[in-house]
Amino acid sequence: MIGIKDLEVTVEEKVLLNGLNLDIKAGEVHALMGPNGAGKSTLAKVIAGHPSFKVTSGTMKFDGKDLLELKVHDRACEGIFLSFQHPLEIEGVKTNTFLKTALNAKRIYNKQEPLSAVEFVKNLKSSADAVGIEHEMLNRALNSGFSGGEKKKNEILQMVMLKPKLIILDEIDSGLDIDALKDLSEQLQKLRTKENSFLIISHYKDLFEHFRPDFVHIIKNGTIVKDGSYELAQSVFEEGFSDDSKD
Amino acid sequence: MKRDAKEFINQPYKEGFETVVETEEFPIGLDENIIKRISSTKNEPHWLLEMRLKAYNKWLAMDEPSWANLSYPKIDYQKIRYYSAPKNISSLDEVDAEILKTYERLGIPLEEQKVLAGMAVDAVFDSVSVKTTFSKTLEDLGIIFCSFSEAVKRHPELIKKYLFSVVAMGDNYFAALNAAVFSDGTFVYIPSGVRCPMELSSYFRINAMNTGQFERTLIIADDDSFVSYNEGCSAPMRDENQLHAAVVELVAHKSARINYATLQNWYPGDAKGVGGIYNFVTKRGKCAGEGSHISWTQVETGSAITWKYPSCILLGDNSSGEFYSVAITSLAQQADTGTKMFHIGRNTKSTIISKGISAMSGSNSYRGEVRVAKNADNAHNYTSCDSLLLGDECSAHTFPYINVKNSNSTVEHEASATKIAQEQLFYLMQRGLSEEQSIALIVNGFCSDVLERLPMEFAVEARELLALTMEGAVG
Amino acid sequence: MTLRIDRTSTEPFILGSESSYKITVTPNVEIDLICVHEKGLDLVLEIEDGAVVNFYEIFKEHSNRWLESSKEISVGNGAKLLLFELFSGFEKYENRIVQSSNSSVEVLQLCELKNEDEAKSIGEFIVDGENCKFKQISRFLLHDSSKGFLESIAVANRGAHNAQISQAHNTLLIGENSNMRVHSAPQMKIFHDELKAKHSSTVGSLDDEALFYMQSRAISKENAQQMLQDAFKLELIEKIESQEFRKMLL
Repeated sequence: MIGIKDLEVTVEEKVLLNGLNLDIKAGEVHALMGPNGAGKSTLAKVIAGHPSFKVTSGTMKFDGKDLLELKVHDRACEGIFLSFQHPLEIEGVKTNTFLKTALNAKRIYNKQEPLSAVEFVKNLKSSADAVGIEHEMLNRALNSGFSGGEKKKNEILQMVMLKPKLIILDEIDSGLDIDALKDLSEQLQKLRTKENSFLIISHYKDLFEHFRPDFVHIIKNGTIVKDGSYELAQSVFEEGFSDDSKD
Repeated sequence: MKRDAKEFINQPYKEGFETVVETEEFPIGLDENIIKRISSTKNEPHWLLEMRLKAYNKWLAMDEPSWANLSYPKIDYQKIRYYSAPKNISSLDEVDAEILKTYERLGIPLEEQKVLAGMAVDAVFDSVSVKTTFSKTLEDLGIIFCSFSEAVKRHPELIKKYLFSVVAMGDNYFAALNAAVFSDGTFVYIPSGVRCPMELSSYFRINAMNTGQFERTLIIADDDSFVSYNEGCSAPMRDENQLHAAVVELVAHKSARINYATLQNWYPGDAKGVGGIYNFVTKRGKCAGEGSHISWTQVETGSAITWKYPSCILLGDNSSGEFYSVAITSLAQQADTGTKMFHIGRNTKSTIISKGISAMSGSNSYRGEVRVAKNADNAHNYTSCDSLLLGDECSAHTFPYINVKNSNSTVEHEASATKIAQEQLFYLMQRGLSEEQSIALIVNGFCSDVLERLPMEFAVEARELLALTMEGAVG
Repeated sequence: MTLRIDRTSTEPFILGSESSYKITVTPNVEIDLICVHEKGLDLVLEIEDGAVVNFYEIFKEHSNRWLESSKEISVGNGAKLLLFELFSGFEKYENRIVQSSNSSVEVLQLCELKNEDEAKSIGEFIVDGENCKFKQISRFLLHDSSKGFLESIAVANRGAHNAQISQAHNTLLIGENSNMRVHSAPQMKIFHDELKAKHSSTVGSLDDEALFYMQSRAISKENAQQMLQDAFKLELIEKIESQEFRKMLL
């Protein structure tokens, strides 16, 4: 689904990612782990197309298309979803209005008929029920006054409605207690299909225990230093990120 | 007023077309003869001509105000045409077909079947109110909704009683000019205890070249009555600037309520500031009676220069005034706008919510005054002004003046200026919205407090207007 | 009198004997300046790059005729200024401050007026560089028939990238059926988009809820009123780091 080759990314002359390689196929769950400042969030934002970062060399292909040629919203319409670590509050923009605009933007891009208000509301209500969000919340301004847990649920709601192909989760588990975490893992399992893929960025073993990755990558100093399976994650939890890196 | 949404997408300024109609035009320039001619063309009674001449002499002795945060080339008042009326109007039923077509193009309902829109419309075409619909329906309720000229003829006692009672002829430079040369406008009277069953609406259009629009509106709500009034405007694209110096007076008696909403979409001029309307308007409401209420809601997206301060005089005890405004300046537009709230009676309350958006080289100033008189016990004011800056050539300014002479009152004013956070834009775009859509959504959200106050029909149009103005306004 | 302060000192520098000063504080010097004057002040102060200045100002005695303090201050790259003015009747403070990049300015004004006293504060605060911070808090307490006049304009010029500007005027009106007057006009002129600017102005009397609460806890009405008034002043007074100046206030 997504193939990243020899990616080099800089911000204001500083090199953040250096020769990064990553391949994710449909139906796979990948975990990205690493010490703070290693470049995990950077990679997530670069895949989404954040304007602050400059790709100075390398390639990124998504389902055969050159991602570097596509703008942020086009990448989103192609099926890339980045879940924000701190979802933003936007004054005066109602959650339901926002969702309808986003959903229809994607449909129009993919040459589908936009949903009518009635169809949309039906879809929205059933999705909200599935995720466990009260309908009344949907009428409030986006993430405004939401608790941390509610904001994360809102992100899941967006995933359920927009049905992305590649879901990138940037520390979605931060700040959640055990129960909320379990709930989150269940939601993620429900979302998972043979056609979509996940790239999960996290430090904590709890999420990975409930939502097991197929592949684990360790990133350090802007490049992936180790690849493995779930056992690799387990050894990190026990021993931390050691300083010797084996390619 | 319904618009075909598709029409909005294609043209930068859709209302920029001209209607070729035979008009009766006066020569350019202003002197006593022009004023006498205006008065005689309209068959006005002598007392009104005398007032016009009095105002003209006051105007001659005044200086154009220069304190506003605006810069524009000096207006030559002798190069303006002060009267232009389509010739074929003799009665309200005969309206030139061309004019009707113009209004059709603008999407304004002039036919009876448009009652589905629930609106009574008085359309003003270049200085003369063309047709007022639903007069009969409203007449049965005792409501008077007609052109100002007609009111002078049919209800002179009301005109004599209320004209200049809220905005005196010598109030300011542009009000004096208007008092001398006003051609027409709207007159509304709601009798005691009557709640006007429909939205009343007027539509102004400046068509002929070098014509100033000097309309005069007077709305009176008697005890315990209610009226909601909407004003929308447009003008064709021209190279010269056109002057719009209107005066609106509102009077609300005991427990009466007047809601006045404006959607202003005058031609803004081009990116270099050529052409465009100069909008110098005096709007004031007097809450004369106890418990009366006046609310001003405006969305200003057009005109090259805007100078207007809809105000409320809170005379009656327990009266209240509100001001909600969204003003957008883009291209090279300049706006110096705001409100004045005068607290005079006891337990009066005022609320001001102003949202300014500056884009490209636009300059947006909020100028507000809150005055609490010595005996205005227990007065309360809350003001919130926010400015949104889009781009690095624009500017936003805030000039509040708070003057309090009573120790039992509370005034709270807050203001902020920011730009759209890049993270917010990124978040929305990452959910599939284009940059334009994202900005439009954020701007809409920014203005939501004000847009929610607009009557439904207007709200739809206002949002469309916002979207249209934002297109291409992103630096 | 022309002065050049080129050495950091923990001892405050006391001004006030002259009425006209031109003072330069050289780069990276840290100094407290205390000005206690009788006749008025005319000051040009140049705070050079990296310097840190705390300027405290007070008129010696209450006056019945107008006295003026007029200051023109430039704040260099990376420099810091705290300006604290304590004023009372018939005093007019006029300030013009221009900030260069990376500097920080805080202006605190506290004024309590009784009887028929009047006071005026006029300010022009210009941010002319990147990453500047400007904060103003002006508090007036007006009793009896006093009059307060506050007009300040904060200007962010093009290029004032990342500026953080905040202005607050707070006026407390004390005494029922009194005849006091306040005119407050905090203004902003913003010519740059990447910054945060805000201002606020509040005018009111003592909070009834707070008064009631305190009285319900056995505090007399007079004491409660005094405590609230003190609280209004205290927030600013707490910002005074100079022990010398605090001593002077008491």
